[in-house]
Amino acid sequence: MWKTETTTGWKNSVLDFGTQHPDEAAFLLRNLAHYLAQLKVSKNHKLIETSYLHRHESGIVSIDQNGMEDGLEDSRLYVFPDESTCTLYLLCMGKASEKDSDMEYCKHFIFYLVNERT
Amino acid sequence: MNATTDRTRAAPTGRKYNSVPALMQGEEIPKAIQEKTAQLMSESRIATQMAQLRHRAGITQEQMAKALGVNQPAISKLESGRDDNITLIQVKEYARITGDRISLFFGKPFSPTEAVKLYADGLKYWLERLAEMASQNTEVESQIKGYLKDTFYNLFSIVMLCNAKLPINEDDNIEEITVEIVAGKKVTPPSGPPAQPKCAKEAPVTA
Repeated sequence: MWKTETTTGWKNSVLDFGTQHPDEAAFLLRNLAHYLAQLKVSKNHKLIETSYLHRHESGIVSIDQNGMEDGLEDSRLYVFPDESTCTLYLLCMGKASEKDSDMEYCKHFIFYLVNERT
Repeated sequence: MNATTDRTRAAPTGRKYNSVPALMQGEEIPKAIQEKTAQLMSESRIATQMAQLRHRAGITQEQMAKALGVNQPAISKLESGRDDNITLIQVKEYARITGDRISLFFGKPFSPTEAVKLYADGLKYWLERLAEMASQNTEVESQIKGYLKDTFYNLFSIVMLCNAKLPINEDDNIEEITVEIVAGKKVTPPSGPPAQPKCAKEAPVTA
């Protein structure tokens, strides 16, 4: 059964982003709940199709704020579904315009994970 | 993401959660965001279940769209949107196409004791059906006897685990009891008045 696990940058990024954009943070967390619900029943997480999901290199997945309401600032919540341990690592949250620096953090995490396992 | 976050020290924290509400509580997300997220989740509970039905059945949005006579973006919108936009016919069709089931519930949520009573009533009903099957069919009799024994053990374990989580006070009268279950024999409770559940402030549950 899939579960979530936070990473070192997660909490601060959510608190920082949530303070400035509480509505967007709530919509991102709602979409995270929806995605987690799909992970728990899917045979293959790579086949999950939802309108708010974006797949990136190295297996990183970003969730946007879309689905239930329009007019919100374009935002992203970054996660990494690790199928070997059924863990959804929660990486960070931020504005879509800051995706380069957020992806940099995500790649550092993947690098850490790969190093730990080799 | 905040520039002060040390990106080179990205690592798991070991803090694991099974659900987003548990995550928000554990990570001390501001109450206003927790409440808004909970509200959004409750406004899209059926849509989430419908997407789960489709994913569990291994059906793509494209296939579902074809079966329902709509286009794929319509399915995508339906599954990630609000419950208010879903019709009962769509819910029924999802259950039919996936060969699965979906339960709808509106209104006031169950209190913990109401929920336990509801499950207990259901459990009693289905276990009685199994007992009837065992008495009518000797081929499944031993399997059902074994199943009932396992069920009893599992339920007993759950109650004991919950009981172990209760606080112990000095004036609590803790009594050790031994229960023997024999197939086909009526179970009588130990003598004395039944213990009152300490965890529930509402009326005790009678199954």
